[in-house]
Amino acid sequence: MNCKAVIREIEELEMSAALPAEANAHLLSCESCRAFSKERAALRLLVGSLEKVSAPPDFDWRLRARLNEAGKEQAAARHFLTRFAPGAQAIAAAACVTLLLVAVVVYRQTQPVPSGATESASITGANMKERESVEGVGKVSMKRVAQDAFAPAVASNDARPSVSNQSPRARSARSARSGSNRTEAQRESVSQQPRIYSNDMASRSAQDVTSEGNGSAATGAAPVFSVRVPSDATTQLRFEDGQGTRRTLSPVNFGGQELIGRRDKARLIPASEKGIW
Amino acid sequence: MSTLTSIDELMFGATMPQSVGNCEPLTDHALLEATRDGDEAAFAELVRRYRSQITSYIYRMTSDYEGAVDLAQETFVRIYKARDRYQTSYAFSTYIYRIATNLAISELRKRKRRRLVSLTGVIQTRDGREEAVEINPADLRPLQDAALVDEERRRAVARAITTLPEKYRAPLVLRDVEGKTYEEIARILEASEGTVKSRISRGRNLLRDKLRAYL
Repeated sequence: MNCKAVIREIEELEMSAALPAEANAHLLSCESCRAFSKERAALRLLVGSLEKVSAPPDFDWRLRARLNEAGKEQAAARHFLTRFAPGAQAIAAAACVTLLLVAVVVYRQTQPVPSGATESASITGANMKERESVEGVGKVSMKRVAQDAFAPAVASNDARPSVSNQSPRARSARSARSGSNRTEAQRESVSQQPRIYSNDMASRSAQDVTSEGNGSAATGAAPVFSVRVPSDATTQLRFEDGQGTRRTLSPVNFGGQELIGRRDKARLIPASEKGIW
Repeated sequence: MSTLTSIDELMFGATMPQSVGNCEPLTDHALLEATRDGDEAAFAELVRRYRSQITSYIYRMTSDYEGAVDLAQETFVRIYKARDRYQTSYAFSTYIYRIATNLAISELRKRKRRRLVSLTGVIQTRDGREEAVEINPADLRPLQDAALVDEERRRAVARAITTLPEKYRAPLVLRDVEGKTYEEIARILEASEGTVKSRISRGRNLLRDKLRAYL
């Protein structure tokens, strides 16, 4: 047994255990290992002689007080966190509403939409004829016809929708087909009736508008799609002292107008019957 | 008519757990499981078993009795709070000593940040670092009473242990004061046995240098 092994044995020796016989034999012959062994034994005895302190008599009382305090703090923290949290019923109700909404959306997306279903509700047989003729004349998409069909059809004696409730394109198509079976005064009175309807300019191409205008000009009939270019709006203001003034407001351009305005012919097409712009 | 069998029964206001003090004492694991089930008397028994050991160990680490008591109580508070997360893979003594060691080392580091220096110590620069080194001159004058000699020796040893770096102090105290095995110390300190042996050896060498006058 060499010195290194003996020193390791001395270091790892248990407090009250004895060295192995081989280590003891080595200590008899090795002065340095013997000195090391004595020194370590004395040191361990010295350190081991330290008296162990004991807990104070009120240790348990103080511990119990601390545990109670810790329990209260935990409860307070839990109460603070749960005070702002929604209850289980509220969470369940919100989850049910969300599921219902998701189910409705999924159902509506997966349900096949029948073509022309939106039109059939309000379009009469006369309207269908008009639509066919319109499609034959110009490049009018089904979507636009469907938009026109949203104008409520009013039943008349000849089972045709009244002019006031028809779209201008449908009116113009009928005029083109039937010729001048109405007087200009009648047309003017009809066109002056206050009506607002939607012309979806965003979904139309400039070519559509142009071709409609050209088509109407070429055929000499009324334009398929009437767009009115707005004029300046004049408003008279009257003050309390009796004096008044007149203000003229220029039309507002939203881009779609500009697209039409580049074309001279198209510019003649009114944008709206009402002339809002 | 029932009589109180221990001070713990009075303190915790509950009866002692079954078979505690009767036939076979419950193991620490069983007591902690009973604590988990809401048996406060079982926890009182655990406190009774370990309160002095832990207080003494932390006192050897920090050399401050009131602080040691406070940290020992904090150890039990943490055990009580974490009673549901306790795993029985190691001995309970390993678990509680690990918590106590961590608390003691944390306290020592706090003191270091606060630069609390013993009135009997000085700041000495060694290898570019500043550390507190205890002035512990051996009193070579003859003493009249052997008890006084022993008392003085113990104080010197305690002070010398206090001046050890914490990485040497904890394994040395666990080994030479608390009498733990290398395997237990390795588990408590979460280090390998080789590291523990090396640190204990270095700690003893440092201690030998400080206490050469008493050897």
